[in-house]
Amino acid sequence: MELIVFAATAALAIVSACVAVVHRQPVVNVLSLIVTFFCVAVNFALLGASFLAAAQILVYAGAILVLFLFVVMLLNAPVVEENEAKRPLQRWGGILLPLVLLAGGAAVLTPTLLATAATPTDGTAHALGRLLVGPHLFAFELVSVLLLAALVAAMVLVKRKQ
Amino acid sequence: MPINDLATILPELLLVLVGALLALADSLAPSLRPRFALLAAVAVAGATVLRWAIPLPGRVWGGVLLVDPMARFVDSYILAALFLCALLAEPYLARTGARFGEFYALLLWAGVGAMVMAKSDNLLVIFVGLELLSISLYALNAFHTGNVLSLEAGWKYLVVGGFSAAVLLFGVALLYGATGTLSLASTPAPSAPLASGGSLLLTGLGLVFAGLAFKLALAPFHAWAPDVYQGSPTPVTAFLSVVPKGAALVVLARLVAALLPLAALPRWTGLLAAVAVLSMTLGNLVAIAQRDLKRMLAYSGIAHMGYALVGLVAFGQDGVAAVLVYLAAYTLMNIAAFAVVSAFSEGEEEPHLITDLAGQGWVRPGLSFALAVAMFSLAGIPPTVGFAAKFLVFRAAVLNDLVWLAVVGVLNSLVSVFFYVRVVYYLYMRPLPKRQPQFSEPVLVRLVAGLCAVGIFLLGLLPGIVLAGAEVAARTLPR
Amino acid sequence: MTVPTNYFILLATALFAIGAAGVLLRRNGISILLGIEIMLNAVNLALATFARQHGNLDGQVLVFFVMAVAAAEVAVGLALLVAIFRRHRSIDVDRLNVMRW
Repeated sequence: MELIVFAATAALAIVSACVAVVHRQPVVNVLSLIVTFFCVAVNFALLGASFLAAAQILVYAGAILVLFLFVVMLLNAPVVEENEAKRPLQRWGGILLPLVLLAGGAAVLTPTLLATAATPTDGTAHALGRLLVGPHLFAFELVSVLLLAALVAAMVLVKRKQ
Repeated sequence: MPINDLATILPELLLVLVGALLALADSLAPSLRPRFALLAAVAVAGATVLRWAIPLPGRVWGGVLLVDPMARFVDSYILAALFLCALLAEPYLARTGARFGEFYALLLWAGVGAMVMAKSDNLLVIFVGLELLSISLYALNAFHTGNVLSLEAGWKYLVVGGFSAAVLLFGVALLYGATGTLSLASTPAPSAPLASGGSLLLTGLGLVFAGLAFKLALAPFHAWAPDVYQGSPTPVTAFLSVVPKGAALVVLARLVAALLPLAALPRWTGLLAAVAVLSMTLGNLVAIAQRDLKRMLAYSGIAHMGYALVGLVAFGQDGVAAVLVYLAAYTLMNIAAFAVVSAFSEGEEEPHLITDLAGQGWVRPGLSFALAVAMFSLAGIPPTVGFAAKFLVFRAAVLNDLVWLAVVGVLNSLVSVFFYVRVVYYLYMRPLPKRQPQFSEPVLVRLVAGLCAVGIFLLGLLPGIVLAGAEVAARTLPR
Repeated sequence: MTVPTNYFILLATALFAIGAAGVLLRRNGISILLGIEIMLNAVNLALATFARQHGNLDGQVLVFFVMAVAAAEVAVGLALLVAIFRRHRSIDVDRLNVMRW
């Protein structure tokens, strides 16, 4: 049963990620990415990371992609004509590098993992919360500075100079 | 635990708070704007005092931070760079009409990110620190939003930064997969049998190294550097050319030290050596062809990170100490060079052509002399600190049976003399052009250039001062 | 039955590769940022998988932080894109080539 769910969401995730990368319309890119992120959320649930599954939907679909959509609508930018011939180096790099990554992932990583058995963990909000204010307290504080910096940075970039 | 732990990060806390206050003061008390640079500089000086006043307890915050001599050494030079760049920024911001408190806030926060990176033992904290540094820098690169080049620099740094962060994280994920922990110190034995877990570990290491190499602008991950250096506001370029690199190098050193016991390391050292040679050679050869001073300094930076990497390849106590001295030297000479570049520029959109320097040596003797000193130091000519640093790095290589690497480094140094001395040649040996360029030479910029030039000579003649500190710092790494 | 670890890692690698291709191939600024998001999501999946493998939650905590950082990066990236659009009236980032690469 779990295997079937995994296969279905994995296939859907890959197809929608391809659409998100390839399609010319930014709106389609963003909407298709929501599907990918939803599939990843299902995979989090399969992995026993229930809190992450919820956070994935709240943060990615709920906040990040809405921000993307907002900017796409706001700018209402014309579709960019993709003329790849101008950049042969990046084009081949863009095609070859992912292929190398894939081959490398398949060849190097997977056989090493086949043998080991998976142990279950329950990533509930309670368990993660204890870690966040326990061993990872410093990082938790640091990320608040990071969010403040991002806020100020975004403001600086778009405010009109007087 | 919390109170004692808080005391160990007082310098960082001070900088975060002053940054937030400056960002607020920008809207609440705009009349203070001309004093922002001074306030930021005072805060940085205060943080430096605090860093030296606080004892070094070692492992704190549940083990994620290492407040050790190494951390203090790296903090000192990050703070020095922050101080100099804050002073450098004031005339720039005044001239471009963008004297906003947010600039200093982001600058201080970027510094905090680098300081955290350099003293962390935990991959999670290293990642968040790196992102704090990077995100602040994206905005600083593009701070001059009216300038096409500045926007372009910001965008390119953001795309490269985001891409490299993802690569680094994938590496972190694989390291975690191989070892089951995010802490570097407790890394040693992979949980899976070494034969299989080893490949996971090595791939992860490779990806983490690639992610850091982007930040260090090592070849072949350097393509962004010239454009970002050229387009960013010059004070930001000065900061960007020293602080992220220092922090990333220290992370790399801690990573190598933690993984040293693993049998698979020799292959990895070979990779580091190859990248070092490639960076040195490519940086120096391409720098010869540059006409823009900022772009030339970008390629020179690529080469210099190659030299510094030689020290890491050699490793051992002398190797790490040499890298630390190198970073201190590099900070002084690079900031001196960029200070003079920012004084010798007519407008932000104008290229900073080397030919524009013709004859300036006799018209503006002070700044020209500072630039000449920086160039000689970058070329590694005694009695400057650049020579001392290069000597230490190559000596470490020779002592660790890497004579070939030292030879390649020395040959590269010889090549680099050509384009550094060419700048001095233009300054002193070429006639002034008919149309004399209009340069602004603010007092603060002259002060920064002067400070750096004095530092270059002082540490060049007495390298023992900084070397002693670096050796103490290097001893904290396991061997 | 539970899904084996390596299936998840393969999926993560595939998503990472697709995201990387997006960053390298596209000229539309928004698509490039989306590519980076896909890459980060792939990493998250790998981290959660290894967390299950090792039976500790450190990996899941890191995922949480990656989400926060991704949100911050997107905010700054989109702000920069808006600034670029105001200046160039386009989000074709290949127009940002005043300097040669």
